[in-house]
Amino acid sequence: MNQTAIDIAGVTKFYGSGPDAVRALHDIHFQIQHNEFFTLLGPSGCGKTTLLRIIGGFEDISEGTLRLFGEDIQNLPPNRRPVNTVFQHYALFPHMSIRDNVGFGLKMQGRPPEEIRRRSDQMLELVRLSEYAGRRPSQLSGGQKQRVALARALAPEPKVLLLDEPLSALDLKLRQSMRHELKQIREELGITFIFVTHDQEEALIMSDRIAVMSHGALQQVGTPEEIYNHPLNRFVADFIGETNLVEVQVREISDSGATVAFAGHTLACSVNENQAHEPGEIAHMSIRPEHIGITPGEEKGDALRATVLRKIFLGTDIHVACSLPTGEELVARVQSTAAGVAALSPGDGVTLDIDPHRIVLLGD
Amino acid sequence: MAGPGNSRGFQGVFTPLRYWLLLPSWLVVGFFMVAPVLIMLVYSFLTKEFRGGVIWEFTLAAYDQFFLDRGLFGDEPPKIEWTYIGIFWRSVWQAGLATVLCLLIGFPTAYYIATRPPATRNIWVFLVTIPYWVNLLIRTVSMKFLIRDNGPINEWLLSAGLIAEPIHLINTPVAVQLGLFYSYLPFMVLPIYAAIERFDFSLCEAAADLYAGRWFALWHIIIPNVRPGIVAGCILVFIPSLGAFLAPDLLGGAKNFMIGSLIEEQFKGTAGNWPFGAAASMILLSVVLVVLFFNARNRATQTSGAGH
Ligand SMILES: Nc1ncnc2c1ncn2[C@@H]1O[C@H](COP(=O)(O)OP(=O)(O)OP(=O)(O)O)[C@@H](O)[C@H]1O
Ligand SMILES: [Mg+2]
Repeated sequence: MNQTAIDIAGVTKFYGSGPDAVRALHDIHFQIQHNEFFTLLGPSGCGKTTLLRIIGGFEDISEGTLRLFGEDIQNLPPNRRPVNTVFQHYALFPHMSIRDNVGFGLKMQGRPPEEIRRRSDQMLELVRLSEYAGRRPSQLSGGQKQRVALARALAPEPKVLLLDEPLSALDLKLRQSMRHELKQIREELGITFIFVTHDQEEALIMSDRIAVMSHGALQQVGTPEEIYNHPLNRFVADFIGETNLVEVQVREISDSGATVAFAGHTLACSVNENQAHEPGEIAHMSIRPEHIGITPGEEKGDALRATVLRKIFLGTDIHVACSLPTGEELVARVQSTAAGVAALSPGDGVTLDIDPHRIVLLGD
Repeated sequence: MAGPGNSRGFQGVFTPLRYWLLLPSWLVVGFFMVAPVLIMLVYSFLTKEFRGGVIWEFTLAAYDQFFLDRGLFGDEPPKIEWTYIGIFWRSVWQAGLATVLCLLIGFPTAYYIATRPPATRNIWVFLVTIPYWVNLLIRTVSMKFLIRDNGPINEWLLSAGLIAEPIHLINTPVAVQLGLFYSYLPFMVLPIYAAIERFDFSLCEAAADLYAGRWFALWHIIIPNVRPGIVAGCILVFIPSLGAFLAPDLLGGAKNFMIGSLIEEQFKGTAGNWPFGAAASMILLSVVLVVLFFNARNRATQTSGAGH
């Protein structure tokens, strides 16, 4: 079961050659297990599509190797790879009906006409477009086209499905139900999904594992929990979810974690594996807003005191931005029903309480 | 392609102004394109004058002469006159062949140009059109010079020992075909180039992704999508080839007469027969209209299916 579907080792990609060459990917390494929902996450232009196109066979690799179920597929043309793609810009065939679009891959596989018809209709039902089977792509909305592209790529039952932002053109409701649907489809059909998105929420909800990319380089690979709770560096901490990134000075390093100096206080925090820090070094720390508690009124003693700057109402939660006496700004996220929070107004003094198990010292 | 009524632009807005702005076009088209055809139509039903020109007397003599043979003195029972129909048929055949040849050479050429990097495409298009800055007559004469029995091509082949005797081309149908093909090739290349350049090659990637080979993608993805360009190219080659007279005159000689030469003769000097020339023109025009009509109908059924 735990078979490696895709093995990417040291992949580097240059577009163009000579002095004008653009490096789109730099030394990418990871493995994707069979049946995994694997997400490539990163900001626009970080190389997600490029990596997907390399797996699909539309771009060659400048350096490195690509293996599919143990087989080196670098020299296999796209039509001989058991991999299908949902293209970012759909690429539906404009001169064919929706049904023929969906049946195209099946036809190419030489399946009998009745089966093609049956399976195309089944796929259209899956993406809820049955009544559009006879139309042309130009007669569909962007979201409908995206669903046709999905049905077309799923129909031939590929071993690996590549999805390039397949939900980006859908409205919120449809997107939510398609997220659910996609997960279900994958579980039913037993296909490895490589899913590209720049929406971190989508990545967290859907993925078994996430690869965070930036500027063509891999930043971190891990489960949504790992990525969220133990970001390796500033980029990941900042890109995934909301966080307070603060500068601290490392005091002591121990097996279980570290102590750091922050805003005149000493805080305990956890340190990621394989991450070296020296006492005295200036480093960055990530504190998630939901891991900061607020008590109205300034307590005496060692507590972290702050002044409320502004309050933003988010529904069940409230964002409270506070400034520390040393000038740093921290944002806390607390439930709007928490005691005394509703009554806070800018200028009020508060006491902050940071959960030490949840703070992470970051690499660069 | 997108919303309903998109292709009609701002219809319904500023309507009176729209008519006024279109007026110059209507006048030019009406006057310079429709009027000459109407004059020809009228002339084809008039009586010929012997030194060229017409007498204003209605007759069907010109059409009669084209289709029917009534003997030397015009008193025998009418038989079908094959001479002109033969010339006509030869013209259609030559023009059709020229169209096919232009398509066979023009499509790969256009494809090659359209798939070059954008910066170099214009250079290629320019290269294709360079010879066409020279007058057609001069080009045709040059062609004659090149392919004649003691012309450079034959001399070179002879001296290279590839042939023992010069290849005789002048005054053969092959020479006419060469002339037509060469004259109208760019009219095939340019519209197809324009269509392929607009073609979205990510469709080919999608086809390859779904296990289609390259040839399948060419036939079933590229060609259906660039078909309007192909059809336009074929029309632009077929129609002028059909009426061509320079290539058949200069390269084909008397035996390879085409309908264009026949018409040209009728209006040249004092030996011509204007009504007969006009009638032949009208018959030629009818063939062209039939071709265009079928194309239009074909396109209409296609687009009503495609919905754009
Ligand atoms: N054909 C190309 N030639 C040159 N550079 C390219 C080409 N395609 C992409 N690039 C560059 O490579 C980098 C990565 O592009 P890519 O399309 O993979 O980004 P992406 O992560 O998919 O972005 P988005 O989220 O906007 O789709 C970008 O900087 C882009 O400008
Ligand atoms: Mg992309």
